[in-house]
Amino acid sequence: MTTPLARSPIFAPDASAAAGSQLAEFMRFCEQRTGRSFAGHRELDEFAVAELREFWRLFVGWSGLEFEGSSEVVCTDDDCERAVFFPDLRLSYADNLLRAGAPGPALTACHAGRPAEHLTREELRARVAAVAVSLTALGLSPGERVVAVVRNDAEAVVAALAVLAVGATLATAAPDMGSLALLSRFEQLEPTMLLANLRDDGDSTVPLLERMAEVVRGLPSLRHVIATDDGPAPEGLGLGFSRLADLAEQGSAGAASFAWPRFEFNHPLFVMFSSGTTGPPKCIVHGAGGTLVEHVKEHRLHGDIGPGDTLFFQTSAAWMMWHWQLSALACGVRIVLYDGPVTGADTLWRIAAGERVTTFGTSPPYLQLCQDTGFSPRAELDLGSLRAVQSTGSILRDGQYDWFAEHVGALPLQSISGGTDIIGCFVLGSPVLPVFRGESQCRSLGLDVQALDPGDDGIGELVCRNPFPSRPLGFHGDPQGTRFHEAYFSQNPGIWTHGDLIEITPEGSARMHGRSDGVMNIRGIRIGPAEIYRVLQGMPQLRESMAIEKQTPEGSELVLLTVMRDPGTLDGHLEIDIRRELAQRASRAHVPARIVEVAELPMTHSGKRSERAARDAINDVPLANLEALRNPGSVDAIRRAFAGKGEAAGSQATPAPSAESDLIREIWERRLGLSPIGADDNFFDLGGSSLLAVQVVDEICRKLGIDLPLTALFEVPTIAGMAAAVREPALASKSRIEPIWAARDHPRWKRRLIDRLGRLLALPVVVMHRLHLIGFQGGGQLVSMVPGTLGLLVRRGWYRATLESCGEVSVGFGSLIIHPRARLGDRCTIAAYCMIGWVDMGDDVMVATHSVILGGPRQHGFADLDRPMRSQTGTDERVTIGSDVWLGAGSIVMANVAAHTIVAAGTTVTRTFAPYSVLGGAPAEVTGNRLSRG
Amino acid sequence: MVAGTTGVGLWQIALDHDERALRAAWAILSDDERERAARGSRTVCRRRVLARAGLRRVLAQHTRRAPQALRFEYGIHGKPRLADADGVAFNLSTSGDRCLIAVALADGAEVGVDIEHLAPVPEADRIAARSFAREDAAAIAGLDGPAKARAFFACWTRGEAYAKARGLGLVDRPAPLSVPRDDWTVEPLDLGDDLIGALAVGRP
Repeated sequence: MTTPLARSPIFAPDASAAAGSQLAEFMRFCEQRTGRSFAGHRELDEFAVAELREFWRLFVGWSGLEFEGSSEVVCTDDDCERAVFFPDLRLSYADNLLRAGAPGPALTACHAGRPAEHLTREELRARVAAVAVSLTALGLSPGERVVAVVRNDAEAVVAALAVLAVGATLATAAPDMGSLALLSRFEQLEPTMLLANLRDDGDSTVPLLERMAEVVRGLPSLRHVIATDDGPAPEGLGLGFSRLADLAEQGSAGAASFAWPRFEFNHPLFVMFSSGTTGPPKCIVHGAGGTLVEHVKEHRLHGDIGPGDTLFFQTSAAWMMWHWQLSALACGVRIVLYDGPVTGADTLWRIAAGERVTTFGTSPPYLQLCQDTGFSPRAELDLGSLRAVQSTGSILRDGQYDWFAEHVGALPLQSISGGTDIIGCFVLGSPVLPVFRGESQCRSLGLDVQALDPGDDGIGELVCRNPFPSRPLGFHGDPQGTRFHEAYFSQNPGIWTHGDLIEITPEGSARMHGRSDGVMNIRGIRIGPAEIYRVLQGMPQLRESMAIEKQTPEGSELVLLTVMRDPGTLDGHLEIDIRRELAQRASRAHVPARIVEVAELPMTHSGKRSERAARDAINDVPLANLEALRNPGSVDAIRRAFAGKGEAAGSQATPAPSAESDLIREIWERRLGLSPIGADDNFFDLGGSSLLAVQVVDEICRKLGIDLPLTALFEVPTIAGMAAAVREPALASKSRIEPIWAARDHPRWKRRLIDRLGRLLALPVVVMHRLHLIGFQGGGQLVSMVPGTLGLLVRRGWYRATLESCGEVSVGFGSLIIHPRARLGDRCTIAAYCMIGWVDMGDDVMVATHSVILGGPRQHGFADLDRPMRSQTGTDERVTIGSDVWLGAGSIVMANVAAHTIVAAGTTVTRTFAPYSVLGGAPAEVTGNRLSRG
Repeated sequence: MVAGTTGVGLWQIALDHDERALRAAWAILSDDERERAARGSRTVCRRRVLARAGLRRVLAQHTRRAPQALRFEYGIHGKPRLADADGVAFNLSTSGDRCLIAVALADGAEVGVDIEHLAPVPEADRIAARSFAREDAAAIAGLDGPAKARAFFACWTRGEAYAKARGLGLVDRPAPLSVPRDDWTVEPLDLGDDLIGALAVGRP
């Protein structure tokens, strides 16, 4: 065999199968209705995006789904965020799933260790109707939220469809979840009913009944609990309790007359949860029509399944694929459920073979498990019914396609990818297109999925540029849509931005490249590990690294696992280099708190690095699924390496600080989680919060046995300043210069009075100025000569009326502000005989007598030697004086002065210095620093 | 609610956008805001830019002006107010990459808001003893685990929100942080599992 070309497909459908597909049928339908002609999938795809409204109207008509109302209005807006689909259609999701199909079972529930159950479509429909009648009798009404903690079994499907038939909104989870995880999802919804399995099945170490009792206690809005199995009844619930079987029995009499009420196309159907890295899980609300139409489109056009087909998708009720495969019922398909464990590579293939499954859905890790254990489904089982295999959840490696072709057969392996957020797929299969290794065959029809701003490698942010029906209605508890907007539309207005990386090939197939956003949350800061890896790629000593979040009592910290090119070469110097490199080239937040060398990183069967396994290992959490790893030994090694490191670090007694500043630096670096920190770095500029500042001061006081005000750090937010304050505690509380104009001493009414009085007294001058009888400078000169308190009031009134901005200031006798665009902050005090040019002055500035603030150093040009400088135009520059500045008597200022600066008497300031400086001389130099005085 | 206010609007802004959003945010800031943001480390800078731009956008909606056209003035301890729009009180708080903005259309009223990420605070008792009212400190001392952290942060955010509403500096605020008088309303904010906050509304 010759080496195949990189772009030769690994599978191509034969022409007759392609022509007989539902996609081909729909294409012909569209051709008839529109008079267009479509050469193939690509042309249909182009039409579906270009004529989105026509496409969806045609699809709804072709689908045979039961709607009432008009499909005239397809989509109300071209903006994905605002668009509403089919506002005039009404439907019943459950009814559409349970209408006619092929004879025989519509649902098969397989279990580990007991025989499968089968339900025909009629049986399923009757049971759902019966339970719906009982639920209505229990008072469940449309719009209420029902939550479910259920296994992937027939009872879950019956209960779910009954809830949906009544018009309530359903949120599902699986019984292997802990009560806290369940509550953080459910409590936001204020549900009125809980559906739950109560019989333990080894899901978790905490008994199910106990966990459900906790969930019930945490959900005060609940009225009723329904057990979907015969597990032990909880005691002392304090609310209604029924069993699903009893509800089916009680409602059976009324089942035949159940009306299958129809609801709006955008009636809330499912709530899905997406746990971000901050905040409680988002509750994504999906609409009935959008979900149904998208699912049916994906199943029929892309998956090519219909009556006579059997879909078996390995999933649980906690995953959107459960809802997705459920909707396949609407295509007349039989669905197969399995609620048992995967005990070996053959588990799921045996079900697929035994149930004569036509489309089997699984995940890359399961296929990898088969490959790694040498299991060949084709050799061991009769898979004659199988027509396609779908895979989702993570990315299939190229090599897995080759394994599949050899050990499963000449079938399409369809990598499908989408998300909980859209309860559907962005990229998936097509019965008429070839399969390329590592690629999804096409994008979802009607969705303008693109790689935004692709790099040279063709990889870009996955966006959907146009509206699509399964765009969620929004988030529950986000009535303004603010969080919803932030989540999907804030990056690219009007365009859905998903957070995945995608590459679209010239053939229109697609390759997924993982998440585009970070996953770590260190002290509330999201850290993208990709950025860390990018920086570390430049360090040849490291072969590989993995950034992990470790939980500590003080919050989480960033840990870096490194695999060295030469094992054993990670030492203190290299650690410093790594930290410095990350601090400079990424950010201080990307600097790991700990760096640990390991021999290898945990890898899953699909060849993906398992951050999850490493995270569990360093957090000392028992690893749930060691079998999912190709190298389980790596986890223990990490655990040991990390424990060793921890002990080593702990066994060293805290080094005696050589100076206070070393101790302070150590505390800062640990608390802020970054290093190195310079002596003059500002605590708040490094990300410190006020609480952290108080905590730091508390620790410093404790360790040094001294007493500082807890607010000390606000006053002196640098290591140098803190060290000085520690040596001279009074500094920390007294360093602020009290402004002379203590405005806070005046009650509000008095300040207003002063203000009014000033404006009134200055009014004649202001009026003259407005009438152009007197210029700005003339007015200033006039008011500058008014003596006493009257003068202070008049000048204040004048400048407040005429300057670009002017706070509550005091301008002394003989002082002039000569630039109308000058700005003065609040409580500035300008003493007598000062000359102020174009200045922007902060608050609480004190200007002593005879000071001059010029409009910059270049008031006149002087380049031309042949002309008098008098006639060369200069540039007037605004001089900025920060808040809390003290200009001593006779100072001349030609450059900006930073906040909190003291300018000594007689100083000429020609350039800018750091805040808190003490300046003196002509030209000015730093003569001291207010932070380190004492 | 304090008489004369027409309700307080709360806006949440996530501070974890990409470069494009950052550039858009940067474009609407004033020079002094950019300067202040740029003093921070990269992450701090990014958060300051996004928070400030978010504030401008929110206030722009309330004042029907362009975000970049708004001018701010600052009180003695740096509390910003709009230079030429009376009757819009606002306050902003960030914690990690979350940001909350409170806006009240209120004649003469002030708002303050504070949010914190919930995390164990080992020094809670000592800080409470030194900074909180005696009964609050006692209550916190009697608690343990998550309840203690929650109680501590409830008290902390209450005090911060009140102090920020009053425009008190970090240094000048009353210690212990006294429970505000009758003309102040300080409400806890329910922000989910890992975030806690408080909103103060009243007249200075």
